[in-house]
Amino acid sequence: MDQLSTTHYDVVVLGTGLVESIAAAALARAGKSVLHVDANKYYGGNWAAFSYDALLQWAKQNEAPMVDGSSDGQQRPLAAHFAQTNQARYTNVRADEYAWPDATEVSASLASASRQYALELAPKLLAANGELVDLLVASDIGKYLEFRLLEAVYLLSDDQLERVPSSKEAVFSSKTLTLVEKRKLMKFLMFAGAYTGDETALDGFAERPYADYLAERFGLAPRLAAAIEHAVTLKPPLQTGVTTHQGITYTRDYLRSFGRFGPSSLLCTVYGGSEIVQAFCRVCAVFGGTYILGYDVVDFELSNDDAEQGVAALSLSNGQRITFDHLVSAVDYLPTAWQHRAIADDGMRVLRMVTVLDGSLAGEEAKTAVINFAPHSSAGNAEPVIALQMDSETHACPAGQRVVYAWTKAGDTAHDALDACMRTLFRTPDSTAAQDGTDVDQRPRALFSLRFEEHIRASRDGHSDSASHDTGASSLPAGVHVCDDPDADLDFGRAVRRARAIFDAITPGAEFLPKAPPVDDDDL
Amino acid sequence: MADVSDNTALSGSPSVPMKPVQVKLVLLGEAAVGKSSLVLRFVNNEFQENKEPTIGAAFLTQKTRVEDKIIKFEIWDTAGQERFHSLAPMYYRNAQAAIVVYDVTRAASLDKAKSWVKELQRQANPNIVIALAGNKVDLVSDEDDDLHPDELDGDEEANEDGDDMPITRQVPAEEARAYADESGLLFFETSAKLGHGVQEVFNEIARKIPIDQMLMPSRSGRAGMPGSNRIDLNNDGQGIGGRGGSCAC
Repeated sequence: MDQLSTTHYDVVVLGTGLVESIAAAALARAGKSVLHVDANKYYGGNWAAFSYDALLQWAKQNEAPMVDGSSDGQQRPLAAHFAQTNQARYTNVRADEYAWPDATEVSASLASASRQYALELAPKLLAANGELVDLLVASDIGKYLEFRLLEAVYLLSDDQLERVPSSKEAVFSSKTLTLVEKRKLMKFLMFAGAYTGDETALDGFAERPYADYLAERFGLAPRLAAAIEHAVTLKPPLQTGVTTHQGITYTRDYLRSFGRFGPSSLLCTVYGGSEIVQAFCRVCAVFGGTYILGYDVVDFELSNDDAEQGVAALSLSNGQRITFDHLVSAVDYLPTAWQHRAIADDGMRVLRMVTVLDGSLAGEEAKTAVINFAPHSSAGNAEPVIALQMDSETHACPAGQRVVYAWTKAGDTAHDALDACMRTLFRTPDSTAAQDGTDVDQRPRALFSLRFEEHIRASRDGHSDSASHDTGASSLPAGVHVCDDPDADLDFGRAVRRARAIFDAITPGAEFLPKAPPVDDDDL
Repeated sequence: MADVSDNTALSGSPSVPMKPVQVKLVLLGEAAVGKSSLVLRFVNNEFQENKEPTIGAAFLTQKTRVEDKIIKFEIWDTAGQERFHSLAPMYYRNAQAAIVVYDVTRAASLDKAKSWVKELQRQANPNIVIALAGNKVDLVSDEDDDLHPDELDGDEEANEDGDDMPITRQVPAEEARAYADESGLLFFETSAKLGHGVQEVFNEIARKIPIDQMLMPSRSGRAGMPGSNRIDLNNDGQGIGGRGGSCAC
């Protein structure tokens, strides 16, 4: 393995997830020397996007987690075990290629078009008015990237996908709403859009269920209240029981995002979120950051300074010892003893599924869409299920196909609930056989699907969501800053806030990702 | 959601003065083959011994004229990300041109160049114009027999393997040319140090660029794609008349 010519850095960043990559770019931009390492040979870590072949390989690795064969780890108290830690994050991994009688070569065709897929582990959208868009604009890093407007938001209602109106115009022109409903909805949307966060405006409902508030104060029928709570929101809840204050805040942010770039509140990234990661990493490199992919961290060393024990050095798998002042790290790279101290206890488990379809959803032309399944939808799910459809314009898949991502809170009934919701969207050979009716099945066919459960680990420091000083109260060695996993939210807001908190802790007072100096335009 | 206003630009009348056509050009090749030096020679017509990697420039720009058209190259350097196998796919996505550089005194650098060409042919824009450039011919120039090793083309990093060994050509021009022909690449031998062949690489690329295709969608949103809903982050309120114009608040 190649050797680094420099062995001391102001900051070593471990992992190329979004939080790490934003922090790396901001730190390099602020003049810090940065070494950015990823144990994988690709960018993105738990935020990665894969070709078809690479996704299968990822699944294979995680279906049968490796066992620690090394015994020397026992002798080194601060040994790191990236691969095992990372694989333990993913459980119940299952990949299915579906065999269709008249399409026996499905698997071959998927593989032959492998590189036309960008299949994401943690798909997300950008809120048009959100922190990430603001950062990409303010820093000019958005110029590296390409975005599309999300076309539609649906809610499953009586076995039908119903397009959710999310603006005044859409409410006016809706053909499924009665005049009275339109009036009530308008009244509510006006109110929510003007919500200042002052809870007294909520008539004592602030901490009560949002659905109750919508029904009692605005007289919205359950169908409309569900549409507001689950689909007219920047943060579709993953569990029931959203409070009115939370709910109306996310509705307001959704409404305020509408119209910034066109008639939608959400943007899709072409090639997926991993592309955003690569853009931030490029900026870090352009400002002098050094990049190493495919090198593991073997172990860490604490400094001998007793006053405040800090982490001082790490060894890379190429045998080099690297010293640094600050360590910014994804959870997976940390020694086991530090992980527990770093992570907030209530880490969440989420069941995720990615499915490649041979066509668009029945009767629907939208190429990109969010599809919400409110609790107790006609599919029968007890907890909310969120789905996201991407297409070839976002380079998720070849033309004509679609990719549907879906996720829900993991639990005893989660797999069944997810399957039931997905059956309303597409068919598998099993679900087709079961529906042996005379009607022609309009649903697109699933060609491939992968499902897994993941543990979403949030750092204790970042958990409060505060951008204030990184106290280190998690009793990690001084100078260690932990990055959160991708969460189950639809948007990227939390990652930006966490990266910024880490940046502020390392370089208090420095400007966070200002624009780069302009490039001189040379004449002929 | 057809973007009508951009669409009309595609069929723009010929009397309209030609705006420069922007071309994203990426540099690829092993570390220390002289990628940055080639750009510096082309853009500023200068050469620096032991040049440090450029800090803070996402890309450099340079215009060049081809017949009645002006091409504005947006030249992307690797920012050192090629060193530890860490060049992101995003780097060469949507590039319309690439210069893959090797060092004529190091055979291994041509092997690396070939693997980059393969990667571009698999991953990049299918119409990408690729030029293969064998750099540092000043080191093996027969006309300059009295060149000393310490005057070598030491851009990016000194060729430490060289030490006191006499510098010899390891890649015959005919071999590289044969490979380039067979792979559909433009081929040049260059010296960033002496300025030899550098302008020619860029000129020839500019001539080969299919201008019509340049007016089709590109990553930076300079031209619109009919029927797409691509968006430009620096242009709020596109399509619906101003930011918040349709906001319910």
